[in-house]
Amino acid sequence: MRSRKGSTLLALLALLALAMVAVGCGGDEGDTGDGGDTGDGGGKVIIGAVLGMTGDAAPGDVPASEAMEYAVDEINKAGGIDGKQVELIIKDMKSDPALASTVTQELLDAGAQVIVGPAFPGMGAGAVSTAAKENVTVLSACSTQPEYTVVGGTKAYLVAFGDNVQAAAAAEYALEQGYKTAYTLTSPDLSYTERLPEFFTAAFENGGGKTIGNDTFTIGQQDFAAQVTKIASLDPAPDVVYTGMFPPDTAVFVRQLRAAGVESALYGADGCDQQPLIDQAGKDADGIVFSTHGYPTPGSRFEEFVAGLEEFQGKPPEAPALATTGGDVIDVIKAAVEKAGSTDPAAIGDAVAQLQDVEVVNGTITYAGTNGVPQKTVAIVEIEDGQFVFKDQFIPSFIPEP
Amino acid sequence: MTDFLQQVLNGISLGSTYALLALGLAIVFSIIGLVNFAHGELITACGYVMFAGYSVGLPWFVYAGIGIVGTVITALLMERLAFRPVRNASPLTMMLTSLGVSIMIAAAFETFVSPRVKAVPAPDWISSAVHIGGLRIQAEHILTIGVTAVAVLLLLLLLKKTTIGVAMRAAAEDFNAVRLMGIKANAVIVTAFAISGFLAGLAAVLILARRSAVNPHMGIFLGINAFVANVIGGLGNLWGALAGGFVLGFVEVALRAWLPVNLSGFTTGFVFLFVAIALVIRPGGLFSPKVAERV
Repeated sequence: MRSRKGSTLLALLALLALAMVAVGCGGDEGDTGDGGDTGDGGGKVIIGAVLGMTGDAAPGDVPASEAMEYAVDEINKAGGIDGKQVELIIKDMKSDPALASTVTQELLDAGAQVIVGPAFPGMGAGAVSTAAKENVTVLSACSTQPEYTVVGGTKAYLVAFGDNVQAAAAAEYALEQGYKTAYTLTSPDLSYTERLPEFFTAAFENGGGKTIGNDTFTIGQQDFAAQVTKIASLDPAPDVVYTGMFPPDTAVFVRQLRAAGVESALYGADGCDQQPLIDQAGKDADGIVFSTHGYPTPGSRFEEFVAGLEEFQGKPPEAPALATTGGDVIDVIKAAVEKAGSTDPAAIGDAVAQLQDVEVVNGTITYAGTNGVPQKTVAIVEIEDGQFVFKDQFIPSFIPEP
Repeated sequence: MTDFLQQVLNGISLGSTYALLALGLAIVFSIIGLVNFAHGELITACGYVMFAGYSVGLPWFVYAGIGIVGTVITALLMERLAFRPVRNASPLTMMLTSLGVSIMIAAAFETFVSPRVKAVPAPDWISSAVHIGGLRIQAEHILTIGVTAVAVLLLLLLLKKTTIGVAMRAAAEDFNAVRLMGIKANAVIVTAFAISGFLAGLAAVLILARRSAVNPHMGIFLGINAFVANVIGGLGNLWGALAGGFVLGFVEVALRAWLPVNLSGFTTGFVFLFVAIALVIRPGGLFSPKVAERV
């Protein structure tokens, strides 16, 4: 037998090593260039994208980045923005918040006049504060978390709707179905999973519903039997269970929920808008309702964009709705540069703040009069017979404060 | 009362998967003193092999079988390519090597397959359930607990009745003596990795039957859980690891079930707090035999 002292020492060393991994082993990011000026970019529009192409943000940022490349390619083929070609520089910040500033600085040095930030506010904060020093504006393609607009100390912009908006839309739709009672599941792991149920409850109770209970989960939890047992013992059962949980967890949860005989409706958010949910949960996926960015209704710009993207990259996008937010952000930047009539970063930033009714892939978007969370429609989709079925699209009448 | 029994059953079921994982980690540690942090990545590897099988249209039990074989091969490759070259280095070097292997495997799946979740559907019968006096017993529970019991019995037989098994037990005590008896070191170590891979493969199939999806980083926390179960049970102690897995599963389910809602979100934190307290009370692990230490 190995000595106990040795084992304890080894255990301590192992814990230390784990801590190192947990903190993230962010390495150097190569050359930072020679510190060129931001400015007119030599007659080009230069968009810098500081994205988590690997790590936690990758499931959102990779699809969005592919769509951005496609959208930029389309604009350039059509002659650019105001006759200027668009250059998109994508750099990986490895989902490491500490790396976001460094990578943003590299993009600024390369002449970026506007920055697209990573999927999560915590990762975007460094990008926003660094870009602010050179008056460059940051927009996030696929984040829905309202605190993105304030987290860097300077105003930044969401391009997707805020979580307060999508949860309110889900609540309004649930009330329309005649649901009176709700049960929510939150997770403190992300502000997304923590706050969506809060917003839902605010809107649901404002409309006359009542949230009768709340429980928590951990993202990536192996087994939801403990939570499901608690829900199954509720009498009467809630009309609807609302959560910001996303696949693969949602599928595990719904299967165990149905196996326990709970028939309450399950409502979720845009994280559910992906094919693996249906493949994973099979027949138990039927009846799940979620809010999302848009839907490929025949003849819509969404349908056309996703078809074009598939042709561009030679394979169907893995998360079409998430990808369209990459198209939306490029549309917003295009509109802002056109409105500003220049590629001066400060002018582009001012123009974004005043945009109104800009046509994007997912309908229209307005920033004028907002705090950076745009006015945008929310689509409601239900899974029926293993298919995503479009139900409704609207701006909710009551939106809780973020 | 029924709720209590239901949660106990949930705990046994979750504990079973942790126990399988912990055993796989322990068997390698007991032989060569390596804490293999890439153990969780064996689960990920199994998941992607199963995903490949599903993609070409194979039925579930076929791709589950291929997944287990693939996991054993992955474990053997890890041994041959990563750990054999550093076998005589310090435990720290071996541990850092395993961390490197873990990061490389996760990054490879992220880069070459996809950072997004891939579905690996499980058959519908997995979530079917029978009700006995208010208690809900799911096929998934029976499968998990049954497979774990059989695997542990087989392991016991192997260790007690076969030459290589006896050699492995002896190697855990004194590797040099085993070599002097004419047993090849490589044979013992390769067998340990093969068993470790097989147990991880079984655990992976059970985990995927429940989760029905794979993503590049799914192994990391499973690997950490396997390690924590070993720490609870006492590093290098096979039956301690097994018990540690069950304790971990129970504690996790109990905290989720009975902590007040405003605290239950921090279940993972409380699990680690429990481990820390346990280690203060029994530094060698909860199930370590009381042995006098030579100084």
